[in-house]
Amino acid sequence: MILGSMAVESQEAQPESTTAQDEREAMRARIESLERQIEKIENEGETETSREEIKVLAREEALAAVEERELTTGLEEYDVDEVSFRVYGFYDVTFVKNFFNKDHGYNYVLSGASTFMISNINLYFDSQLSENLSSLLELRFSFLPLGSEEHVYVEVDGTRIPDYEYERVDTRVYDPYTSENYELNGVAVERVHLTYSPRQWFNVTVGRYLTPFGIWNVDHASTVYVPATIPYFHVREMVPIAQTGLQVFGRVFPSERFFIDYAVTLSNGRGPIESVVDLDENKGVGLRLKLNYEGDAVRFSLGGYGYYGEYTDLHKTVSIDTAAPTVDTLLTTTSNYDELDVSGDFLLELFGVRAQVEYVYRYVIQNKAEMMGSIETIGATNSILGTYFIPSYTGWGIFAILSYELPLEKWIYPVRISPFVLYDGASPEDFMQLQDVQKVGAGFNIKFSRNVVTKVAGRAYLPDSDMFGGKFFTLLAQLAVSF
Amino acid sequence: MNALRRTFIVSLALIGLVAPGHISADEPDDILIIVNKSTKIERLSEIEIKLVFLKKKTHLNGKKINAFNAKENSELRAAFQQRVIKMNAEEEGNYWQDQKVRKGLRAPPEFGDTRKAVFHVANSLSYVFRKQHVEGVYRVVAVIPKQ
Repeated sequence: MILGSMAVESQEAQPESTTAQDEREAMRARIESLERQIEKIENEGETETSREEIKVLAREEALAAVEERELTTGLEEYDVDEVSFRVYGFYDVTFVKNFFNKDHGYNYVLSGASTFMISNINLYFDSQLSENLSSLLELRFSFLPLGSEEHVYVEVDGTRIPDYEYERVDTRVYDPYTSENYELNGVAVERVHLTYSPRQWFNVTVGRYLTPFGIWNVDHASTVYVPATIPYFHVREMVPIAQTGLQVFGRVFPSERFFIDYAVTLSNGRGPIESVVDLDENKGVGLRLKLNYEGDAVRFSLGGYGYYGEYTDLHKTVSIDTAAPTVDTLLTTTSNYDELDVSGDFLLELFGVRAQVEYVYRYVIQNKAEMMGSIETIGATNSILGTYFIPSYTGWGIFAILSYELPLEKWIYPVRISPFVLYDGASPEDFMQLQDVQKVGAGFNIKFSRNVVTKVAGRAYLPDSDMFGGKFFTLLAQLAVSF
Repeated sequence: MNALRRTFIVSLALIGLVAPGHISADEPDDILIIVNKSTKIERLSEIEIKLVFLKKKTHLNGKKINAFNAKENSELRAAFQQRVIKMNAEEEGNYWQDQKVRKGLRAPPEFGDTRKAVFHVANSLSYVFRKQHVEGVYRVVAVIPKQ
C-alpha cells in the first residue's frame, strides 16, 4: 500500500500555505462530485453499464480519498523563514620537533625542543536569520599571548646592546580568594559578518570577512586543508588575510557545468589597527574572479585576486596653545606605502588526485621615508652600521601540493588515507633575502571519520641565506577535530 | 445499491490499488525529481540537481530553491547519493563538514516523507522513488533511472 507506515515528523502546526489549502479544497470538491455521481447511478437502477461505471467512480473516489489523506495527515511543517542558530568549530593538537642545534638562529622564532601545541581553537556562531539573511561569527581562542617573546637580548660581536632586554609575556594571575594560579588566554575575532543573499549572482557581506583569495584562505580550517601548517606567504600576510568593510560577491552559470565566482571587496585595507579604525581616507579595493568546472570525476578551478590599498601609521601630538586658547591634535605619519597584491590559484581534482597551486605577487611603493629596524638592516645590508630606509620592493610566494586518496575503501572504509608532497617558497621582500625561505615536504593524512583527521609530515627548510644557521628539518604530527 | 455493497466496492478498489496515478512501465526504483507546483521549473539536468543539493547552485529561474533530502541511511537517500551526488554517505558527510567550517553552509534538511515536504513548501525540490509516486501532488522535472 502506498501510504503504509510513513515516518511522520511531529512538529508544531504552522499556518498552511495557500497552495496546500487550495489543493485540499479541490480534492474535497472532487470527492463530493464523485459521490453525487455514484448516488445518481445507484438511484437510476443497476445495469451492467452502471456496475462498470460504479467501479470506475468508486476507484476514483478511493484515489481522491487516498490523496487527501496523504496530504492532510502527519503534516511536516517546515518554515523557510525559521531562525536557526548553530555553534560548531574545530581545533587541532600538533606535535612538532625541529631538528637544529640549540644555537641555531631559528631558535629566535621556533622552538628546538619537541613540543605539543594547540594553535587553533575556533568556534563558529552561525545564524540563519531569514531566508536571505545570515550571520556568522568566528572566534579563535589561543593560549597566547602567554609565552610571546616581546624582546630578546641582542649581542653584536660579543657586546650586548643595552636597549634590548629579554621580555616574555606572562599571563599567569593569582586568585586572592582561592590562592590558585591560572593563565589568562586570548581570543581573536577571525570574522564577523552579516550576509544578505537575494540572488545567487548578488550577495552582500558587511563586517569582517576573510579576503576571498586563493584556496588556503577560503579553506581556512585545519580539518579541511591537507598539510599541518599554512603556506609561508600566508604567514607573512602577503595579501591581507581578513578585511573590515563590505564585500559584494556572487556566482553565475554560463553553462551547466561551468560557473564563475566573483567578489568585489571594499575595506579599511591594511593598517596597524585596521580592524579597529582606518588611519587614512584611502580604502582598500579588491576584485576576485574564479572559473570553476564541475564534472562527475573531474573538478577544477582557476582563480585570481587583485588588491590595491594604502597603509598608514601615525602618532598623535596634542598641542595646547594657552594664549588662544586652542587645542590641536597633530597627526604625524610614521609609515605610508601603497601596495598592489596579485594572487592566482589553480585546483584540479581527478580520480582521487588533488593538485593545488597558489601564487602571490606583491608590489609595495614607499611614500614615506621609514628607517629600517636593526634586523632589517642586518638582513638587507649585512651590517648594523649606518641609517637605511625601507625601499619600495616586490615579493612573491608559491605554494604547491599534490595529494592522492588511496583507493582502499574496499578494505578500510570509512577511513581514508592520502599521501602528499608539497613545495612552499617565498621571498616576501626582495631587499631582504634573509627572510627568503623554501620548504619541501611529504606526508600523509588519515581521515578516520568526517570529524577527525590525522596528519603526519616531514619538512625540510631551505633558507636562501645561511645567516641564521642554514637548512633544518621538521617533523609534524597533527590531530584535527571538527565538531 | 445499499451502503454495504458500496463499501465493498470501495474496498475492492483500495485493495486493488498498488500505486495510484498514472504509473508507467518504467522501473519502480527510478528516482523522480519532484518540485512544488508553484515552482516555474519544467526540466532539470542531473548536473543541475547535483549542484543544487551540494549548494553550489542556490537559485533556479531566479528563485531560491529549498532542497530537501530523504532521511540519512534511508534506501532513497542512498540511491540518490549514488546516482546523482556521486558520493557515498561518508563522502557526503565529509563534504558538509568541510563546507560548514569553510563557509557556514549546512546540508539540505531531511524529511521522512519528501513528497509531503515538497507539497507544502513553495519553491521546493526533492526526490522520491517511482514506486512511491503520487500523481497530482507535485511536478516531476527529471527521472534518474536505476543504473
